Order: sequence, then structure tokens, then C-alpha cells
Amino acid sequence: MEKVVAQIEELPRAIVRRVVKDKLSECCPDYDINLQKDSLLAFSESARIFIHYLSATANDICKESKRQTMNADDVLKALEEIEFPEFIAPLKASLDEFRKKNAGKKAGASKAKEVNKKRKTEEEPSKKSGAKSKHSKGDQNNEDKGGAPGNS
Amino acid sequence: KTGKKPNRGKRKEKEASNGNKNGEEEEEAKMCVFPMMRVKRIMKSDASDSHISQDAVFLVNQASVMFIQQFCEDAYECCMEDRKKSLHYNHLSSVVSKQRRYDFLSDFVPQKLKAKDALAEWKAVHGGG
Repeated sequence: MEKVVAQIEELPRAIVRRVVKDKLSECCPDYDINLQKDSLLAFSESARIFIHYLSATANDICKESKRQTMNADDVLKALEEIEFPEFIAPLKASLDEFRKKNAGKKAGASKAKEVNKKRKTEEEPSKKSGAKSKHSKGDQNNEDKGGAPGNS
Repeated sequence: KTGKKPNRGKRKEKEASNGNKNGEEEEEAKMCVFPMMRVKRIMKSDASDSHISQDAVFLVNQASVMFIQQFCEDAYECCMEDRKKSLHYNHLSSVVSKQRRYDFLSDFVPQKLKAKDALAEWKAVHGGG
């Protein structure tokens, strides 16, 4: 049982490897740096401990202000407290992006039903516009035909 | 190593074949690097009695990735000082022991000792006490 629980709490090794590999090739584009197996394990474990450390600190901040739900500000404050303040600015930027996307998704989900209703009403005007375009084409043809005899 | 390259190739093929849909998924994958449920579960074990907003989980997820990158950069510098072409465990552990803000890892990424040295240290402490 313990083994299963431990596995669930671990971070996906493949993703950790990709993050590390990408960073290494960024640091040193000239040649490949080998990543030893125990180094990868240490990175993965460290990241997990970091999550524990960060969320525990954020949880303390949250409780100090007597709120029940840990929010984004708690996490940002916690980052400052655990001496990783340089993460805050880029994180704020990506949080904004994340929120925008989520807002879009929620709006999209609630609008899905409305869209279905709208489809029926939209079909009619589209038919009309199709008819109009046919008319205009017909007009053009008429004009061409009308022009042809004039030229001859 | 060999397993990774074909995967990348497949991904690119997929992107090329169904443009927009996969592009969106790819973007989402970029934004939340680790699975959100996994991160939330790890966080829950510290804060089981309080709720956690989705924003907070997202931030912790992103922060953990940035942490790996920062840790990797610091370890890489150590690796360069050592003039090695591969990143060894002792590069990571020496970062942890040198930089104060990595102190929280000292129990999890300890410096490796040779059994001889460890024994000598133990004897010095316990022999004296």
C-alpha cells in the first residue's frame, strides 16, 4: 500500500526529465550534457518537496488571515517568504493568461446551449444572404449579356 | 534517450495534421506542466482541512517547474566548475549545501559521504560525548 501511495504523490518522471533537459540545452547549446539517473530522481524529489514546502507556507499565510480557501495571493506571498521572490513576476503574468483562458472556457460552456438555439435562427438569414448572392450574380450576368450586344 | 526522439516526431506530425485543435491542447499542456490533480493531491496532504483555489494549484504547479529550472541552472554551474560533461548527484547536493534558500532540501538531497568518513565523523561525535 505504501508504495502505491508514494507513486501517486510523485511527479511524472518524464515531464521532470523534459524540463531539466530543456534547461540544460538552453544553458549549454554546444553539446549534450548527460543527466545521471540519480540526478533526475533528485530533481523529481526536490520538486515534490518544493510543492509541499510552498503549499505548507501558503497554508500558514491563509490561516493567519483566517480564510478558509487558499488563493493565488497566499501562494505569491509564500514564494517571497521561502526566498524565491524572482518567480513572482513571471507567475503573475502566466496567472493572468490562465484566468483569461478559464473565463473563456466557462463562457464557452454556458453559451454552448445558446449557440444551439441560435443556429436555427441563424439558418434563415444565411439562406437569404445566399439567395441575395445568387441575385447579384444573376445581375452581373445580365449586365454582361446586356453589354455584349451593345459592343457588337 | 532513443525513446524520446520518435515521440517528438509524432507530436509534430499530429500538430501538422490537425492544426488548430492540437495547437490548443499543446498550449494548455504548456501552461499546466504537471497534471493539476497530482499537484493538488500533493498540496492537499499539507492542507487537508482547508480548500485550495484552482488559481493556487496553477501557481504552485508553475512555481515547481520554475524551481526545477532554477535548481538545474545552479547545478549546471556547479557542473561547469567541476568540468564534467554530465550532471551528477553531487552537483545537486552541493548546491543544496551552499545556498541558504535550498536548506529545506537538506534532508532529502544530502551530500553523499564515504562510509569511512561517516564512521570517522560518528566516532568523533560519539567518542567525545
